[in-house]
Amino acid sequence: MLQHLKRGLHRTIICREAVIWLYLTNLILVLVPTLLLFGEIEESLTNRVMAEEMSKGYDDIWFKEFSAEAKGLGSTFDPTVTGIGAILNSLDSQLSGQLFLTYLPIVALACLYALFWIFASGGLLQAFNRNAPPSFASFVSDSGAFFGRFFRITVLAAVGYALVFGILKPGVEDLLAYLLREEIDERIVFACTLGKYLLVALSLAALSMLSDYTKISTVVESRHSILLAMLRSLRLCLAQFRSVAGLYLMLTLVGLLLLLIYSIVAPGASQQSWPGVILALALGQAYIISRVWLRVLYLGSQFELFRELQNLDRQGDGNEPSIEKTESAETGIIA
Amino acid sequence: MTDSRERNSGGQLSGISSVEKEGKMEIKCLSSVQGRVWLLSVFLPWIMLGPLLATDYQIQARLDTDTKIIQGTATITWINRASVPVEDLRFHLYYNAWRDAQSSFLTSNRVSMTDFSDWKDDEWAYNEIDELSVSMNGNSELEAAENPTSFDLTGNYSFIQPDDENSDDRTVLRAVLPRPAQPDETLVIKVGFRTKVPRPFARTGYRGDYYFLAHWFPKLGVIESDGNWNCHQFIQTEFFSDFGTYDARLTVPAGWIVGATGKLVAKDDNPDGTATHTFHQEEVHAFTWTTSPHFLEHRKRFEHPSLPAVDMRLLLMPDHAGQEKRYFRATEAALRLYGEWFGAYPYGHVTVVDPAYKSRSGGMEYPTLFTGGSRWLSPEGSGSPEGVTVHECGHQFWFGLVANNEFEHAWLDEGFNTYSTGRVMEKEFSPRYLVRRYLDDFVPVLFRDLQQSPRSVAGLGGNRSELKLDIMSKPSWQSGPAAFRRDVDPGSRVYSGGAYGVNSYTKPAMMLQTLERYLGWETFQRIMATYFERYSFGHPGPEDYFNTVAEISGQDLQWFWDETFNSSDVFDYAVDSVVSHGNRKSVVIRRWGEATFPVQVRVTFENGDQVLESWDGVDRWIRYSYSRPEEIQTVEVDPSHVLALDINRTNNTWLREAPSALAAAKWSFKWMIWLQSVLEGFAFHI
Ligand SMILES: [Zn+2]
Repeated sequence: MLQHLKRGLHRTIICREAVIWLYLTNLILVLVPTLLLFGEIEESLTNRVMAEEMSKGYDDIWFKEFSAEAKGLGSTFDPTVTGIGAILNSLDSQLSGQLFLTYLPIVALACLYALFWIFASGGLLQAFNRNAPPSFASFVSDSGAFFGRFFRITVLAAVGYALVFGILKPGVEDLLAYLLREEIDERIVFACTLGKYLLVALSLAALSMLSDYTKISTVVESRHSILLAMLRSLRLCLAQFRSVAGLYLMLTLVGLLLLLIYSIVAPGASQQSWPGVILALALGQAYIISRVWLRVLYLGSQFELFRELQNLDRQGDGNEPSIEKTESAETGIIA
Repeated sequence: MTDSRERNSGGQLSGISSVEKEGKMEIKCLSSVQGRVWLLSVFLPWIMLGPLLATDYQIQARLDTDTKIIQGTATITWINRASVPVEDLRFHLYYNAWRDAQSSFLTSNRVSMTDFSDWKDDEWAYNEIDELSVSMNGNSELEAAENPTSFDLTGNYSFIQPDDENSDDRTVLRAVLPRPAQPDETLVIKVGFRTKVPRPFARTGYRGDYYFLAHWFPKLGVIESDGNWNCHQFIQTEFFSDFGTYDARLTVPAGWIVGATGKLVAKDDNPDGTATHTFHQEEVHAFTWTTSPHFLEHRKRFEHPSLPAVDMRLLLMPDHAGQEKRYFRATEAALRLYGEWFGAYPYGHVTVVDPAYKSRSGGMEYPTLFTGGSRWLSPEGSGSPEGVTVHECGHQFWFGLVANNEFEHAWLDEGFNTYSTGRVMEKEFSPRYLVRRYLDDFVPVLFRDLQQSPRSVAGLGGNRSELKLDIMSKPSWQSGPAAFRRDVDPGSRVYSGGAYGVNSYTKPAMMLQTLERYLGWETFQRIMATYFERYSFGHPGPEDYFNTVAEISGQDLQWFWDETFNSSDVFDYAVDSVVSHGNRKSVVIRRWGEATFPVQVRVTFENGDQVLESWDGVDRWIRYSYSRPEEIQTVEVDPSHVLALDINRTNNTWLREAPSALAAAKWSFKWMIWLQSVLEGFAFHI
């Protein structure tokens, strides 16, 4: 699995420009809301002594007053975005499903970013497939070619996520509430809650894996039917569960390592000058780039594993061609 | 002299004295002889206010942990302290508030949106009276001989609703006496009752084998001197009762630990696998208990050079093992600082209950017993469990001893205590930091860069003019929810505590903080200590406090009460503009709020010169002009932060070159990283 990770890393280097473009997309999308929030905060602090407090550190009274009056974007501002808090807050809401219930314009912005990712995934995977850095034109044209299919895969995955957050998680919560109705030891309730989140995380991982391998299969095997691609990736995930899950776990550990490193270097609220503020911003951006890169690494490493398993399959009993033969007849099942 | 008074003067209370010396209260331990002198001085007020000690309870109760029913009898000795004959008795049956969804408690504004349709049978509660009789002995032996002494009232009572029209509410029971009770006549009332314990609700109930039992027995209301009963329905407020002596025999499964108001005087094992715990306490106005086999018991003695010692008993849940030092430290801080500032805690013992997880019994006060509240993971510096422990221990003073009517004037204990808690927390537990909890609030992360303001009052935003809250003088039980004009400000968020939360807690706390700074701590401390001394074991009302303030400060502060207590207007002074034309400089200060308060304005010039102006704060605005070459560097309205009630402190200042862009960039960039991470969260799902 380390080999896949290593080779996946190589793939991300091939597509380093795409990583930068995806990061820049993220950055551009958040610039306008950031400027709006900047304006709100600046207006509240213009010619006020609290500006000194807030530039030197943090002033709780200012925040309470700002928060009492804040509406819209301002209402999403919380001082715990300082340091690692920015990441923990978003990861926590991601795991609890609250991410989808954030302030609506932010959800809309995030959906727009997701569209960019759906688009770029085709170009990325085709570049992996060709094992060569893509030109801008070929990247865009490959991305466009797969956009429709990847969009449909995302819709199917979204149904899965809706089931996780709409049925599985509330169902487990109801069950735990019933089982723990008389429990008075918080440690036991916490252990069960961890179990719940492990289940949610595993479900999200399974959906993400399935979605990724479906896209990989679509590109590598030039599939038009996403249903067949999904079946193919499901078969692969089940048949090669240890490899697939092992790789996913390893990638997740890389993510946790990045989080750990950022938690150590993440700047708190003590910057008092422009260079300090810029440095804090730069460190944050480095982490965000690493998140974009990590997502590409997931795709790259899983792509490598898929290719290897595909080769093994071909050397094996050769069931695969029969699927290939039926492919064209199945095209367009999901419209 | 009544029995209860005689018991009291020879009773268990420690002897301490308060001596006024050079403007400070000094409280000294005294010998037993001197102690009696102290007791006389402390109890003089209630000796004069005799009616206060009127009700003694002898209770026997057996808790059946299978059926969750307490079967009990109470023998209540009650003296008619009214100056007129009284025709009936009125009892609180608090548990009937959760008898069904039609009670006034469950249909009141604060919970009326809750759907109770899926409540299970075991969630509900009740108080049933199985037997009610009264012995009336009259004022003299002759009367006692002439009148039959015992009457059965079992069929002679009804539920009444003195506060609303809700005939389904059964929280007040009225029993008509066979003949009017004469002034000073002693009645012995026997009540047989059954109490069904609910699932946790409003700091009472059971979860697993943890029971917290407050206001669980039929309790007499308070008779006023004019013969009217002060016995409100239970509608989302706290409580009010007479002082008296409680003797309670509580039977629970053997091996279970019991914490209760008072001191354990006996524990007897019964042949049926139960044990009976007997508690005794004089001069308190409620009796609350808790039981569970899981409590870890810790004891420590509070000692102080000039305050009476207090034996602290902590009942800790196993998941909070290791937090005993934090609980004790907070309890000691409250006993010490409230004791030094206001007056001594006289009972000699206190029980601190660490409530079970999700038992909804945390953060509540009862005489000589209170509940704290903590989490399994609770980092040092978070202020939890310290804050709640100081607050609830503080209620031993403001509620336990100075026992105002919480139905009507909740601010006199909650507001006083929120103010006092803030002062203790600032002195003993600063700094405190913001904590954010993750994974369903189980995992806390403490942000050492984000220090909480030391005297911050939670819910500062609750006191906002657009919420159109009730005025503070409105009785607490009539407090309405917060509301705002959607047509004017559709985005406004409502403060969930409504008028009750603001008017009982935050606003009065800020009021007292303002008074402290306006009058100076020395004067203010004397006011609080005098009020405490005068009204310990009493039931003071707002006027008693206002009069004490006027007397000790020597000032007529009616204007202040009119702006705060008798109004829902808010205070907001701001630096409006600063203009510089050559040598001519001018500053405009504006009053945005409707309420007025005299404020100082400090103008600092770039060479360091300062000018301090005084403004009565009455007009809408005032301009100060200066003819000097130096530029104005800063302007501060209320630079000493006297007016803690000012709802916007940010606009109180003006700084010539404020780094607002730097501050805004710093914080919006941090928020940007959060937003980018949110976007990456979505990308993960692609
Ligand atoms: Zn309180």
